[in-house]
Amino acid sequence: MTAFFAKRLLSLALTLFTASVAVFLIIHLVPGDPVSLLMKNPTPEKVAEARARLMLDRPLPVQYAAFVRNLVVDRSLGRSIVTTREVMEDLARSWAATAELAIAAMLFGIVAGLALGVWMAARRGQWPDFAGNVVSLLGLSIPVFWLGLVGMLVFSLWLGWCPAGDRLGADADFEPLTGLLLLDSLLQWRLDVFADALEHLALPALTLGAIPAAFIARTTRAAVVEALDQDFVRTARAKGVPEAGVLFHHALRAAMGPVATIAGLEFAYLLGGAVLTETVFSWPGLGRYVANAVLARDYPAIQGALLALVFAVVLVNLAMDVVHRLADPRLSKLTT
Amino acid sequence: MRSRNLLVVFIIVLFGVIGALYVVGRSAQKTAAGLKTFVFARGADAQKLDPADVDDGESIKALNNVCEGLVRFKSGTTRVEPCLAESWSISADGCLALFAIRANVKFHDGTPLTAETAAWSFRRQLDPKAPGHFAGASFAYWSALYSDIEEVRALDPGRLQFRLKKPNAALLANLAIFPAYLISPKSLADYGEGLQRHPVGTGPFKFKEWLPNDRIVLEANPEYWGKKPKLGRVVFKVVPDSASRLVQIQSAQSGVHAMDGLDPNSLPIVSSDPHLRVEQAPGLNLAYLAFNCRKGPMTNVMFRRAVAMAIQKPALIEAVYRGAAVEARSVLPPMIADNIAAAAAQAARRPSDAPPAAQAEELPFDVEQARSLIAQMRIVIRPVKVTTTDVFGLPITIETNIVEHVELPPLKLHVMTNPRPYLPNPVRAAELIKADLEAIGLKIEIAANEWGTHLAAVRNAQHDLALHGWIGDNGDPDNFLSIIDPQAAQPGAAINISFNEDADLAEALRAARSELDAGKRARTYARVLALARERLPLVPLAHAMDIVVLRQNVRGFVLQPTLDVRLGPVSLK
Repeated sequence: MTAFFAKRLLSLALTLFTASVAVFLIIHLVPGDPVSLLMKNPTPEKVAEARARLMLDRPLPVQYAAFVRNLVVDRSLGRSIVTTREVMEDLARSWAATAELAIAAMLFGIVAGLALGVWMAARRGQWPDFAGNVVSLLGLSIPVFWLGLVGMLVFSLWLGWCPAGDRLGADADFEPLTGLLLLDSLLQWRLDVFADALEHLALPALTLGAIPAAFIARTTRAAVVEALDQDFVRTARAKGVPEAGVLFHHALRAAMGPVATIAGLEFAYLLGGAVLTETVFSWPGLGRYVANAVLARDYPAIQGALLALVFAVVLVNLAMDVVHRLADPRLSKLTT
Repeated sequence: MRSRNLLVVFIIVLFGVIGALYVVGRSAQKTAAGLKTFVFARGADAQKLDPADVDDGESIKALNNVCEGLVRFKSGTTRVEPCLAESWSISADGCLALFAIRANVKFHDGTPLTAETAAWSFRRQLDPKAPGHFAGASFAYWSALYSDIEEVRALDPGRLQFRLKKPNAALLANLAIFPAYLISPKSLADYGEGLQRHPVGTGPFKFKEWLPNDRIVLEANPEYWGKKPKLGRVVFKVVPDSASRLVQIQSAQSGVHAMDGLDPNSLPIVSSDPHLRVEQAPGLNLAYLAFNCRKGPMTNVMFRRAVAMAIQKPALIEAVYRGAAVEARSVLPPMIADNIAAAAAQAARRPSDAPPAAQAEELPFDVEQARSLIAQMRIVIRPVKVTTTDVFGLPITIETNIVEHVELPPLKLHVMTNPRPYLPNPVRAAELIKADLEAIGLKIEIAANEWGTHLAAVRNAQHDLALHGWIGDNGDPDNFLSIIDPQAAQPGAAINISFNEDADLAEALRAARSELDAGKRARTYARVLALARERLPLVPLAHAMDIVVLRQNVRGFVLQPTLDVRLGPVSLK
């Protein structure tokens, strides 16, 4: 196990290094530079001065070295060129917003996906199976921004059940601690804020959770159907185990492995792939932060945010590997 | 087996607890009493809240309510009126301007406003060694608008004097816009460089907090020197997607009272919604087609005229703006042109002194003539020597001319992909123009790029033709006409992306800038516009409407030509 961890940590470091170099090179390959985007009334002198101040006139390796030095020595990702704020501070804030949204979406995705998947498998070939199939296919193929807008129209505009975007109402007076508003409001026992945050979270989380829910539903169905055809299930039935017990204790157990894998992958995707949902619901998260930074060629902000995303994805993968090894004793016997 | 049962139980309990907490919390929510919160939704966040160092509209909208300048534009116009200065006088040679500072005004942190505290904000921008002149700040406007200011001095607590290197007719207009807003000198001591994120001004609202990418919160300033604000709190929030923004203002639940950046395609939705109303007026902006005047056929004014005659502006306005624009007849928006004419009329002693109208006539739409102009350009007469034999079989050489039809090279039309305030659907506009120009025999390739890439390309003169635009900061023509000013055309840092080399135009613009007599200035601008019409460095296309959508219960909101958002007089019914 120790060797396993050491190897994984080493590969994590290597991945981060490779990613940082790749990110650095790619963003500098894109035409257009932050200085010209910042200045409405540029003059050659002002442009030259600003480029020198931001080190943009230096060779790329020098710029990269400065970036790494900054990160290692000062624990800083630099300041945003556009806003002059510390990138680290901005990331912490938007990171919390994205994490809260992704966790809520994942929770919905797992619960809804498992339930739908088991139901489809249990009624294989009957109408719930077909209906579930159509629903999950729609969940996979409907563009998130469209789903979000329709959700807003129905639930905010027509039914008036929940607000159409943001994390809290305009009147809210609340100092968050961690940035995870549901958690913070409970820690400070502000149930009014909790309810407000939950109302705001519901629609974006359901929208973002639609894709993982659909994925998990299809995976669960396939795994449960396969398990139901196997000998141990026939034995269990022959021994008089009730159908619900067969379904949940025997068949679903077999489905848990693939579902956990999918959930891990999807979670990593949700952390970085929430740009559209965040845009539609004006959610101040990481995805939108990256999109804004790219459009403004805000190099320090792009670098910092992409590194944070890579870090998160690698970490989630690592965690999934560990969970797998703990869950399946056969894996830990393999040499890695 | 047991563990799986536990999981199901855990999930049920979790949802149960969340539900219970929600119900309790919901009943604990108080309805807001007393002063009201006003929410303004816009497409992007502010960059910095330091008036001296910003030029993005989103930062300015928030600052409009926190900070003020010595003078301001009278609401709904671009005419200058007193603000933190009660009155002013300008010396006969135009090089000294004296402002009488309003008494009994305080910054939000309690610092009293005096000539000295006012001078601090200007010196901070003027002098690179002054405290508060941060290394990372660009002071984008200082060099452009205030380069003529040599010194700012407090004569006594009530009098502030500007000394200019040379007369500048636009001085007052320039002092009415955001870079001349005053901030408290104490804010530097309190926040250091953080003052760029924490503005302390004298305005009707005080800055409360800024959650980046989310919202800026302001609170009423009960000690405001002017009419007290009627709103308790103002929230500027970011809703990047224009369709979501519209749903938010439509749904009462979301609590949004005003929005801008409406997709023109949604205008019918807004006008059919009984809860909403629209404020709109032609904006201080221009969308135009720029020629790269240093390249290929674009160097030829006949070619530029042919292109101008081939473009169907009404079709463009219908398809691209859904009617929410007016046809551009000159480089200057109608409001600025009217201002010049009005100033000139006021200055003219006798009616016969009145200058020619500043509004220039455009070229007529005429495809036939455009096509024949292009056809003429494609005809090249080339002298040749032909060697042949005469009747006796002896070789002779004859000199003659032959007429050739040459193909014009395909032209690159650069365009941005992101909607801009003056051009809501840039790629569609490019497609229409391409069709118009191909109808007169040109070959056009569209190069559509995201804004940053587009800007880099056109500022470096990589285009043949480019769709581009300008948004005016003040009502003064000088600011607007930089897009045809040959002096503003250094590749890499060009504002003028037509790159026209035109000594007459440059000279006329220079003369107008330092002319203080309104009548003479108007005549000079009439000449500038006539030159622009004749030399045609660009084709003016349209002035987009400025549109703000309000909920019906909003009272007292006035659409400002400069796109300032002034919420001091606004109330909610």
